Amino acid sequence: MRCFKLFSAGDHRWLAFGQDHERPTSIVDTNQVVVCSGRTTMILDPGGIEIFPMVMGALVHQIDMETVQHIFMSHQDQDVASALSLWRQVTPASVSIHLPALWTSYIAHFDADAKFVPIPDEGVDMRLGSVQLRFLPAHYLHSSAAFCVYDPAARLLFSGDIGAAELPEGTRRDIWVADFADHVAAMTGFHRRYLGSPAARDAWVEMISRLDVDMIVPQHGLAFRGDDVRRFLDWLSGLAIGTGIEAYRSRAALIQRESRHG
Amino acid sequence: MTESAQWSGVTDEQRPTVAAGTIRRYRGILKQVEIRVRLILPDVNRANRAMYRLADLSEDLRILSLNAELAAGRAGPRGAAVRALTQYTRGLVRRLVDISENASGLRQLYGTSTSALQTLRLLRQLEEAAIHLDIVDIGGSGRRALSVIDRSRAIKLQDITTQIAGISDGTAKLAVMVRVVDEVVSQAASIATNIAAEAVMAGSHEDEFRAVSETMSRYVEELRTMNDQAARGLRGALESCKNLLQTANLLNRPEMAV
Repeated sequence: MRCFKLFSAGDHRWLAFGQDHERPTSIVDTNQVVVCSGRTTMILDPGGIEIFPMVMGALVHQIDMETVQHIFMSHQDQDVASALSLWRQVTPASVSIHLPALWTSYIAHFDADAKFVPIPDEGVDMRLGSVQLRFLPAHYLHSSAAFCVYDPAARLLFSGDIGAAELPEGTRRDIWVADFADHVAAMTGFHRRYLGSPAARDAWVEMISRLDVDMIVPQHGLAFRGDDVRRFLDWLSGLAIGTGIEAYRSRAALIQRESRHG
Repeated sequence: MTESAQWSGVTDEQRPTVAAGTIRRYRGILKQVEIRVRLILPDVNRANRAMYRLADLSEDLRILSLNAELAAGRAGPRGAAVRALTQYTRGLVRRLVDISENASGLRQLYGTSTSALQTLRLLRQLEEAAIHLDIVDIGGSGRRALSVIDRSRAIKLQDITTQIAGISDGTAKLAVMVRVVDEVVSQAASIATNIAAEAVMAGSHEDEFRAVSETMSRYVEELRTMNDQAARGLRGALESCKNLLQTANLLNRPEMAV
């Protein structure tokens, strides 16, 4: 599993772990992200149970597990949360699990004994060491309750599934998007089908546009920096999403044809 | 799930207590444990399904014995023997009710088996993580993480030992349950035969007593079928459980100590 340095200023660091060659090919590739400030660390979307050994193995090279006081889960999916009980085994007993309030009793299916810090729908700010982090709503993008994490000091946004890309194996050289125009093809299918609400998308883009963002780091695929941040927001704003609706239409047409003939 | 690992007392210098080689030996045994737990599940499930009707049949038999007692009362002196037999039937019903209340033990056994599978899964991932840490060049943080993983593994191994003991205990209890139902079936069948014999001498009450005897025979037959199915499932579970315990004992060898 590779480790990428996203941001570093003194003891304030953002790291991403991913692009793992040992990962079973049947499971989706994920970025596990870590933010440290002083002697406090938060793991963001720590990943599914299948990749726990590899993530753990890579993480200890960079951080002291004893400093992991927080785990953040952007939403309830298995590739985010299914290793929760294992993470609680290897982090301090006092670790706080931050997750959307809507999903607490669902994620408890992965670990009924975990104590959660539910994030209310409108989001909340929290202090990590000497930095302030903001949990920002990303509901319906794709999950009906989801959050991003914004770090104003690093000007970095961890965006969860927003900005995700499905890249062919062996095509990644770096964590950063090299050519935005080329990268669009890898993002389009995911966003058109997984993101369901144009209204939520518009509200999210408007909210993010009000922030100073230099980097957007999604849970899958590559991260955006510099001008690509604006390019990404513009591209997302103009994309037709919620294409699953087409399945209703085609099925309804089929049912109508059958009832005519039947 | 047991408590999270504590980091207190884990120092930079602390060496991992388990080498990758030992973990690999462990994994072979745990794989065998997992296979054997998986073998138990379908048998327990079969027994569980078979026992599903037990509470209903107990209630049917209880109502039948009440009706039979009323009929015996109406028959006066000619119903004395039937009355005694129905009181004895109520004793059998109480035994069945006790058992059907304990039938939740079947569901518990199913639950313990699935918990054991979950523990084995977590254990496998912890061991993978330990191997990852053991084969790479790690610093103090890595060594401490490995020590914490070792502790977590030790807790999980205790869990799996407890769960296997629970599976063994649960299976043994089920075997007792099947034996008791078998006794009840045999005794209820004798009562049905005796009521049929009393019916012949009951004059105008013959039809009434015969109906009781026939209904009881039907219930007894249903009980017997149910218990036979449960017993078949349990025979398989007991055999698998014996093998499971033998395999699990390998974990307690001194060279496997965590």
